[in-house]
Amino acid sequence: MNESPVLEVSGLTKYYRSRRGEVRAVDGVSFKVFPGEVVGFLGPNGAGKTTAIKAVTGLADYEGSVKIGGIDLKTDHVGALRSLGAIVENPDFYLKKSGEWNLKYLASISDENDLRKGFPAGEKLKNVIDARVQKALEAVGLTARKKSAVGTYSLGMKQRLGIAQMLITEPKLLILDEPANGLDPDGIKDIRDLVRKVAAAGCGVLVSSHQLHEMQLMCDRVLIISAGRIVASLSIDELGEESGAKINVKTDDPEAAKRILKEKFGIDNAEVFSKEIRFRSATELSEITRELVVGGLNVYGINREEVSLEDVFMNKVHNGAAENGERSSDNVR
Amino acid sequence: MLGKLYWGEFRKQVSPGAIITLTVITLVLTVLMTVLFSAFNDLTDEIASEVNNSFGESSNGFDVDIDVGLTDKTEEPNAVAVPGTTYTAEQVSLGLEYLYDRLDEAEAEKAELGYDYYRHPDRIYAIKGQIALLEYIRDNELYDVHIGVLSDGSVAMGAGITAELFVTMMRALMFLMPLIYASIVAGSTFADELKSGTIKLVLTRPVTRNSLTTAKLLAAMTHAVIGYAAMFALLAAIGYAAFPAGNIDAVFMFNNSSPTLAPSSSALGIYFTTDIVMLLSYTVIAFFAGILSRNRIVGIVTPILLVEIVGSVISLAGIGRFFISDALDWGQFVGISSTVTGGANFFITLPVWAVYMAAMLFFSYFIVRKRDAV
Repeated sequence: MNESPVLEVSGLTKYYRSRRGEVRAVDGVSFKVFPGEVVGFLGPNGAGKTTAIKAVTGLADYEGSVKIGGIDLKTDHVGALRSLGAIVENPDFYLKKSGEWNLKYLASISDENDLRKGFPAGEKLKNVIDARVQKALEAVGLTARKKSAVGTYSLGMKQRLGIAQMLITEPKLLILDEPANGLDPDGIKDIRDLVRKVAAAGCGVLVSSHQLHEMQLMCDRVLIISAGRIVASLSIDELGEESGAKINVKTDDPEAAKRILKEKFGIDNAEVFSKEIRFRSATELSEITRELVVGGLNVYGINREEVSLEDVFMNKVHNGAAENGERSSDNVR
Repeated sequence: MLGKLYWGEFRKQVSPGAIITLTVITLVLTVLMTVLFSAFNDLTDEIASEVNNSFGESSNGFDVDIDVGLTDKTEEPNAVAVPGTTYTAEQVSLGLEYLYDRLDEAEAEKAELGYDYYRHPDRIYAIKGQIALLEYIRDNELYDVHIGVLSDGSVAMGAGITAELFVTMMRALMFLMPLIYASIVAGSTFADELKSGTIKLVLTRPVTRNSLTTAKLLAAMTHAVIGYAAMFALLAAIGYAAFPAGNIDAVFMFNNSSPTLAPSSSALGIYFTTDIVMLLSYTVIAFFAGILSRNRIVGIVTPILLVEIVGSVISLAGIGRFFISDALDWGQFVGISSTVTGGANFFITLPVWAVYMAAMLFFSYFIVRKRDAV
């Protein structure tokens, strides 16, 4: 990739002092996010995802280097944050103020030159902000409720307002921390659509989650973080293989089944047992059954075992796929 | 950028609940005091006319009265105290002679007693106040106007309760309201944003933490000053509607060693200035406490607790001049403060004030910069 990364993190370390001594919440994490790419930050609760994100968004002090849009966050804090849009933990609002007020306020403390992009020179800033706010409200379908206090909004509306906040400034880098937390499926889909949309427009996205399935649907690439270190960097296909559901098929000719699976679905990870074949694939069970039966095999049973995130971690950690964060980051891209 | 941050903070800090509550309390107390003071005025009118009748003089009361209630801090007979007594130039001059003698005696006593002199009320101070008043009457030939002096000797104005006296007294009483409002606004501005998480929204925007701190502090100070001005306007409106305007344009000013009388217009400016200093100092204390504790209640309560309660105890212990509460009251430098104990010293108290304020501001900025905002 010859484009320069929109986010470049190297050797990010964050530790807290506690009575038991130093606790390294994030330990030497390095990675890059490129324009148009959606990178997932995947790890169980307490792995250090949010801590890392707080450091990257300038909310918390850290050791190491963070560059947003090529600008170092430590040396030019304001310059680096110009390119950033972020929702950390939850979308945050002034609940007693209206949705429109919240958006206008956020726009008013954003960079003026960024806001003016796409507007004729000499246009009044107030008009620019108004236009951007109305456009963002329309995009998320909140125009009708724009004058109501945000405190009266439903959770889904708040989430959409959070999206509108991100849309106002057209950031180069979007960071979403656990965006699906507490959302219903519609809300999650809204977030997913937004992420896809902004990525298609060239924005780099870093999104954290502890839900494997969600990451698979949203991301191009996933960084697996555990105990403050990146233990693996996987493309979405690799993640599918690692995590994809394990399927067991009971049949009298497993070897033939293996051949058919390879031909029809390209599955080459099948393990053959005496009367059974096991493999990982996201393919629908009905399709597999049909092809096997069409291929002349008797299928006595088929079932899918969901593999948990923990299984992937254990697998990664035990296989020594990455001994530390630095090495894993070396093979990022 | 600072301008936009400031304007945003100013709007965010508007607290309708606090404004309504404090305004209602102020209104109720002001109306109550208006009724009480009106009753008092009626009473003094009655006494004055009775006294005048008994002397067989003009019955149109106030025109011939001089109501001079001098301080009762000494055991000396007051120069004049009774409504209805009329002063002549000769009487004033005799009174002054008498007071000069008492002053000499008191100073001799002070020289003899040394430090023990301060175990009792400062007679020298009180006598100087009486002298200043009589000299003022003499110099301005105010033989037929109304002069009233509060029992602590701090104010002299027209007879009975005038509009000016009402505003002056009510201002002292109601000053707590803008102080509370300033504490609420300044104490909760960071704490609320940390609690609701909106601080993350602000700090992930391209703004520096220093500029955010400055914007919040200046916005809180603006709220404090507006709150004070609103209270002052309310008191003035009620005062001038309910009471007669005084016809003497002077206010008693106690400097450290020499009490003087100053025109009330300049006194009003001094009240305003010293009040604003105290108000902004409260704002800084609440702001700092809110940042340090990240708790709005602590932020709001700290200044009042520190100044009114801890400060009083420390003043009683005799070490007040180095504590923050005494340092906030600039009235003591210009002699309009009731906290004057003879210990106020511009060259000690002002640096003490400056050190406290600078330290709190420095640590406010430092903590916001260094502490993780989550």
